[in-house]
Amino acid sequence: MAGMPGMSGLRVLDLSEQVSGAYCARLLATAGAQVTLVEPTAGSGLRSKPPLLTALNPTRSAAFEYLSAWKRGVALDWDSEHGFGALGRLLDHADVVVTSMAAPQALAFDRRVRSERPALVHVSATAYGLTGPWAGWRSSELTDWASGGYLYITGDPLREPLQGAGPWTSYVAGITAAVGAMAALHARRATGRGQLVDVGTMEAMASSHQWSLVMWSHQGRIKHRANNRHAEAHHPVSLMEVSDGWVCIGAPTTAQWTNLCIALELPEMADDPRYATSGLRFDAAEEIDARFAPFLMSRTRSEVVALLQDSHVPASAVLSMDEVQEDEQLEARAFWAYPEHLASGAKMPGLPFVLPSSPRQFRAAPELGADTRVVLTEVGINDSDMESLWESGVIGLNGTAHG
Amino acid sequence: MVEGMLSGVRVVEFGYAWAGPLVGRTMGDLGADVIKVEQDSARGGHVPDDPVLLAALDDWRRGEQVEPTLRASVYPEGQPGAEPWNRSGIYNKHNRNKRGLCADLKSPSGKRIWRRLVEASDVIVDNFSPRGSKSLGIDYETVKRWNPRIISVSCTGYGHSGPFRQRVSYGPVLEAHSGATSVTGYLDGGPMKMGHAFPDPIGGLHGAFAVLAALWERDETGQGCFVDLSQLQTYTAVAGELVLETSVQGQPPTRGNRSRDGSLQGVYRCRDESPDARESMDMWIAITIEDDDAWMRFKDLVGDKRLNDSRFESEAGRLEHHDELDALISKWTRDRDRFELAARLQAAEITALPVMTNGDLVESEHLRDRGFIVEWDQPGVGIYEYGGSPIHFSDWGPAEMRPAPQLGGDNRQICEELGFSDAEIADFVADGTLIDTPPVGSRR
Repeated sequence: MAGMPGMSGLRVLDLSEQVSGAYCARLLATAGAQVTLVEPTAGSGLRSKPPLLTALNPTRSAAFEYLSAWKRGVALDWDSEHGFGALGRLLDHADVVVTSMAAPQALAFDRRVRSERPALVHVSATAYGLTGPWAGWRSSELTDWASGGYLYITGDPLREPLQGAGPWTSYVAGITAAVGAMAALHARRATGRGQLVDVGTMEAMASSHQWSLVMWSHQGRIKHRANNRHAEAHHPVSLMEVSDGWVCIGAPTTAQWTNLCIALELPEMADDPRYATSGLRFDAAEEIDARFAPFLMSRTRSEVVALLQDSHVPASAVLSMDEVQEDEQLEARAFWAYPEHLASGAKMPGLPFVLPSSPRQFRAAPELGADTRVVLTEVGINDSDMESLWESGVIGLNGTAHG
Repeated sequence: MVEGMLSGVRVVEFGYAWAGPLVGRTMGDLGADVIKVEQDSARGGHVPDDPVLLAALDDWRRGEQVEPTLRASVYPEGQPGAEPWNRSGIYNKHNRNKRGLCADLKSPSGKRIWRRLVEASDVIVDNFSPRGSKSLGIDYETVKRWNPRIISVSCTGYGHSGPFRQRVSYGPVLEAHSGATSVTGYLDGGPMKMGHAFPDPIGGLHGAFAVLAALWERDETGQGCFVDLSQLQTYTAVAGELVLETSVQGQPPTRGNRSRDGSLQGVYRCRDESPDARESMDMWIAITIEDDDAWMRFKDLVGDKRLNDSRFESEAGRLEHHDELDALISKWTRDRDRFELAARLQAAEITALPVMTNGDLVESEHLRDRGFIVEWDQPGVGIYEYGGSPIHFSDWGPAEMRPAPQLGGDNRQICEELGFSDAEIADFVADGTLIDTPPVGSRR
């Protein structure tokens, strides 16, 4: 089927003002699609989302700067009839539109835009999805951790459940939505029709458990928190303290266990029948950790990791976010992008992986309305219509809205 | 009308554990023909000689384990049965909508089968180490000579290049390396890992996206490609704004369950449950109060006069007295049912959700209404419930759910499709190339 338009031929509109939709669109952009962020003339809500770079003047959102890289920016208030007309022109030229509207609005929007454009793929990324009894419920980053089941299983069993440090549930929904977008495009090649792709963070996260759900359906057991250890069956798959911080060691197999004991200069533990199976090791976790401690506490993270990796035992230092940025592996693989316009030394993940269609050069997040004129011209809006949109305050050009 | 969204696409998956199988499963849910290729020891049996493969190979589907090791496989009702390699709940959950080929790819016959399979396929997915895929002969350099249209997506921990390319890893190890563990934790605590190996599903989902984008691109170029996906990178990518923040103004401190946007929020203890004699469960609710209006609604609903204190009127005041408010809120939630409480709060337009346990998810009225909880009749296991596809398509679906393959369960059918004669297939079985039971061995 050679000769069909490839990734660079895909036109994506990002109307989402949430992390999930924004990451979905970013992923499409990193795969080579041409993605346009369409935000209100007052700016996307993501422009004020923490973490805020308060060291900069003016303050900027690290979330927006990261999530909007490789996107063009149009400032357009499409809630008015005049503005919706302009959005319609953009939609006429789009393959995919990504939204994060609440259920009733998303469904109304879907009917309105897809009835006239049957080939359009509409990707909706919301907290609970567009149907079901919780579809209208409110959400936050914290409740997203709660809804998908990760909150209950993370943290100390004797304390309250613990959230992750970022909106990673929304990222999972965003990747899932990007998979849905591409699948719907592939289906369109056969049918000629687009469709609505409905992704909820709750389900995307419920789908991202290793064995929690089958543990209930197959055995009726609740999965509990286990601090920094494995919760059910293995030891060590855990964080362990060393002289200058923590390492994560994973040695569930007997071969790894044997190699671990030898590397830690405790070969007698490898032959000890009390630790012969992973289950026995799991039950003896406290005792094992106590026996490992003197060796580990006399070595640094990098010493322990080198020793264990040389013995084919999975292990890494717990790196700080500062240290990650100096990591030689990520550096060697040219993983970083450098948004130098923000600050000298500013650094963030670039392409998550490289496809033949991926953009070669970094493109920073757009200033508000930076590409409005170019993009609207592309879809056939002429100068006088542009002037009229600007006069009525519907569009923003280069960071300014009229009036 | 298409049968599946990806009908006509064939994916060969060499997945162990979670990330690789998730790529295959996602493609299978979407209607691709996914063939999972396994070695005889992948689901149990003797110890392979190659220590690198050993470090990488799936460990959890082994027959001869005793409790609590046995828990790792999640057999139905805890019973491994006569063929434990076909009964692991985890395996069957990760490998639905696939066919199974179990073959010795290093034997001369195995190499013939492998070459024909490559010629007849669109995508190869693996999550072996670079050395492991080379030693099996499934690496891109080998397969592209037979099929230049092949797309090879290799989901390693660290990637195929760089100084750490030969490192071995599991999800929690990559999580530690990414920096995410160091920022997650209680207000007063050290680093904390996630309750599951979170880099695995994040790597696997990115991998499925990579497959779909590479297939799309191939329709223009006619050429396949190699995608070198590092799960360390895909996991660091979801912490992108934290990396950027750190590079500009330093690493943020751990923040427990606190917000970064001025919301008052927390996870509060509710009435415990004891579903049976075996265990008592601590139950919780997550509540987020975003602004002054939400605070007014919340304190009206709670009706505790102490919340009327003027110190709590402003956002700044609430954040200053967060601990005190947490204690007051906990008193109110402590003896209440988490589901009833969440419904009351949501009805009053206050953001709240029960902290869902694994049991809550399977029994969830919301997820069932959306058709997310599915069941299938797994041969040798019976009918059990599983999580379904998280993607809902208006024009297609719900995704069909076909059981996970038995070890080598589709050997004959696949070899027939590849054009091998009955006599050849009989030889493959006789010479040990095609296998459907794991070797009996000493692996513990």
